[in-house]
Amino acid sequence: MFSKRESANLLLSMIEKISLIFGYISGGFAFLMMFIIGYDVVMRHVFNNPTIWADEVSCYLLVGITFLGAAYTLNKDGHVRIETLVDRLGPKTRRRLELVTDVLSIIFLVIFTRQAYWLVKDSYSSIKISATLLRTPLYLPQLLLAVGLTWLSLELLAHILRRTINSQVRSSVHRVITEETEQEKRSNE
Amino acid sequence: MSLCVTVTLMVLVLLILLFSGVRVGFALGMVGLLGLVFLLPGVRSPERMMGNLAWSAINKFPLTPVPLFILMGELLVLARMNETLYGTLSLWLGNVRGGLCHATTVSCAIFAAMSGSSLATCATLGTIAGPEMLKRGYSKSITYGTISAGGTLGILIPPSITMIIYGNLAGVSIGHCFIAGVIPGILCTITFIILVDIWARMRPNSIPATEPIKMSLKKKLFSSVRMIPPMLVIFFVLGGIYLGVTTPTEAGAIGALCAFFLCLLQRNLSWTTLWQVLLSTVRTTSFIMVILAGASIVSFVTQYLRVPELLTQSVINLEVSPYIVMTLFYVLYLILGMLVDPVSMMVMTVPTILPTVIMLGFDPIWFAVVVTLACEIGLITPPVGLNLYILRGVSEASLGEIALGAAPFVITLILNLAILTVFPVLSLWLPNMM
Repeated sequence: MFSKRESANLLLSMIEKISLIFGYISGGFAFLMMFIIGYDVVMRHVFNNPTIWADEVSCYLLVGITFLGAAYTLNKDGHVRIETLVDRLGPKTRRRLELVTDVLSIIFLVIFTRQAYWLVKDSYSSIKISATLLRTPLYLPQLLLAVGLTWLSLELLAHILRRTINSQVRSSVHRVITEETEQEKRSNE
Repeated sequence: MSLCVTVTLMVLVLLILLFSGVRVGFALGMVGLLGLVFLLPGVRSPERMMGNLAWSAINKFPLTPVPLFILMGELLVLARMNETLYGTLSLWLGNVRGGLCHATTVSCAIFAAMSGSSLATCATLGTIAGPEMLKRGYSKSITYGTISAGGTLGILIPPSITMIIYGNLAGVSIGHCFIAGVIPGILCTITFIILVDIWARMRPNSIPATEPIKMSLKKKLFSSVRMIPPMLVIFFVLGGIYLGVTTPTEAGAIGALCAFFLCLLQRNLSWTTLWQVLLSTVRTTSFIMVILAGASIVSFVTQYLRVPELLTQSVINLEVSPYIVMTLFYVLYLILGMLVDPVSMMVMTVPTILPTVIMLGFDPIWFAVVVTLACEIGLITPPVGLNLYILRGVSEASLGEIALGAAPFVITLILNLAILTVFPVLSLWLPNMM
């Protein structure tokens, strides 16, 4: 039987694992993009027969790298922020401020994600297609945006929860240690 | 509510969010969302635009070079290109006064011609050149000053990620922006070398005279053979863009493929290192693009409120010399540079400021160079100078020591900024020949 905390931790590490998988997929996208454009260059300049899809697909790959990779980037603390002032605060105030900013961020991200799904739904129901020879149904690449943002929100939620759980663990460990030392003191006396 | 108050309020909210440590992309998005909801009267459910704005901000062909050039730089670091360059140049220049500093500066400049960012250059040279210079008796300040300043060349000398972002924001040709950075980049390199020479004369004990190391010409030439592959990469990437044969995207893909095969040939590549490179590319691309997506929402609101036009109008009404206005902009950029990273600086300012700059009679391609130079200064000014942080990470020096060493280079860069402002032809000559 798992305790409550263990199962929560399991869930959180599962979210993080999936973020990592998305990160790997985005890495694969970057690799693919290099070869797609390389192939297009050869077709264009050597065989004088450029592809009709390379440019468009690489745009979609860029969207994929950006948003599917966003959760992984958050996990590695890769999204830039200004830490000059925050670094000067005491650890306790700093933790509180981080909680406030993270909660604000998650509210924003949830709204953002909802709008992304709305965009996908709109493109799907009004059958929007790209104005190119490829005629891609736009909801497909737009799904990358929506899924990526969903996972970014979940990753941030996991980030907040993990820190709260850990700080609870730390404070309970702290209590145990202080109690033990007090007991030792008493026994020494 | 008058527009002035509205804009001040938006800037204020943005600053509060940024300084309380909200990630830059999210902070921009939040301000954008607030703007959409409160400042667009008569639009039903205005937040619906967010999805479309973010989508069309990233789904743009001119942005596709970003991951490709990042990947190329990462692969070249994996191929130990920095070490090769520094090793060869330090053989040739090692016996000159301050020679290792010059070797560092020049290898930074050459590496900058293959990579779009400054951070990788800074980190690798910090670990390779730093210890050796300290061992040869160079003072800490001159060592780390040179490395941090040399690293900034990465975003001025093409290819350059910040220039790609600028080109997208300003709607000008990225190829022209790239080529415009060549001569200013060389100018910066030369002024850095002159600065080190003057420094060595004024403070002789910061660079001790060491026993010259004898090295046969044959050995020097033999080691120079290793310079051929990087030179070929530069030729393919920049030559293609300059001659108009390849677009920046194609040049990025060719460069990345060259770097990939170079890694394969030198056997630097394993599955582990390949994934490390790819994941690091994802991290950099994602953070830049998320900032762009957030900024696109704010830009929409400011465009809707006609802030750029009103700024232009009020500058016209001031009736002062264009150079005074530009100086004010430079001061703004110097202050911003102390606080935020180059990409955020670009997305926050360029869409608003550029119409005014063009109205004052300056060329948008020239402005690309100047803004990038201002970003370079921002990279080495505390409290937030990314290169300073990176060097602190790879060395034992404190942030203060590194910043002190970088200070003379900041002054040199400001001088360069003045030179480029007075002589725009330095930036515009090459792109006009394209």
